[in-house]
Amino acid sequence: MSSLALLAKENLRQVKRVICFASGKGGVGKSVLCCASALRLGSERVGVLDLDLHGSSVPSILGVSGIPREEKGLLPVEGRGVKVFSMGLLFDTCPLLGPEISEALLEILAIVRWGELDFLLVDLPPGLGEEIFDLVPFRPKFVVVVTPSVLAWETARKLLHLLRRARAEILGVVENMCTEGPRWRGEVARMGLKHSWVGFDPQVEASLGEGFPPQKLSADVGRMLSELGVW
Amino acid sequence: MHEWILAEGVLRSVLEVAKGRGVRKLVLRIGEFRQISPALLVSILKEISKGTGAEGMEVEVETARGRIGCLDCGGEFSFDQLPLTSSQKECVHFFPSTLRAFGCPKCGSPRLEVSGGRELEIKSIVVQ
Repeated sequence: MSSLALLAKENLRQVKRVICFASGKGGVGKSVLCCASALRLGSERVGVLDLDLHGSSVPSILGVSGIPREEKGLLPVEGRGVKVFSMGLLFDTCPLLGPEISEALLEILAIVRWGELDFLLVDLPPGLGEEIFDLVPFRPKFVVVVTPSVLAWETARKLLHLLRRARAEILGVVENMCTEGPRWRGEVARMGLKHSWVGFDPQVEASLGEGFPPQKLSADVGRMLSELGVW
Repeated sequence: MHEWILAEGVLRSVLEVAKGRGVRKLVLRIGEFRQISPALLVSILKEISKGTGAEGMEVEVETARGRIGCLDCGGEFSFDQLPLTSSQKECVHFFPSTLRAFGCPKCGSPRLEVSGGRELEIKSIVVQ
């Protein structure tokens, strides 16, 4: 095992649970659910790792800023009661390609020092890219986010199959932005997975930053965490 | 002190490879984009290896050069030719894979081909 991989493993040994939010398609509200979950779990020691290297949004959603401080590695910034690391805190754009994505991921896991955490919530980029499968050896649990749109479900289904083939542990599927209740509960049950849903909250956009999350979203995310067995 | 955490990782690897045998010599190959101070890395390694099977080992650090080529304008650059600010250099120091984020110094294109310069390798270990 490489030196960076050994460091990454050692860093994550101090984290009780690593939960990754993934999706087949973009725009399903993965980052929003990841950040809202972090704030709902705020009485625990929680970190949020933004691995959406090309489109990081965690700092804007949480209203967290600052440059990670150097101390025998990099310390995540702290705000709203959670620790946060995002390449978005260091770069406006981070145009990585293929193997560089895997390299950057390993560098982040090796160098960012979270300390002891109860939860590390990871916001993944949409799609079926390297970041997802590079994380599998570190034994995280995956939450797959969809919307009631059939387009979101079709790609989520592919992602779920791939995660199973990679022997990743899937915590469940969350249907987000539901206006008329959930649509995919039956399909998810047939796959033998837990299902939860979160209603559409028109206040999300206006709340981004210090006002996040709005009340309805926060309540739904609390129920979601319970239904997925996180709490 | 980025060297500290890298030294910790290197020592873990060395002790894993040595499997309980004493380590007499270690040769490291480190990419130039990492901007690691070899002297500092060696001194940290000597410090943190005290009381382990690697205590007192001789440490050599080789620097691996890298090349940066632009796929759009065809320009070729060495790391020293990149007009990076000190904070940009610090970003590359921590995450050398992000070098591309700063674009081609000649035409600004993000389509850079970066080869080498990011190594963090144990080239050889001599054990007892």
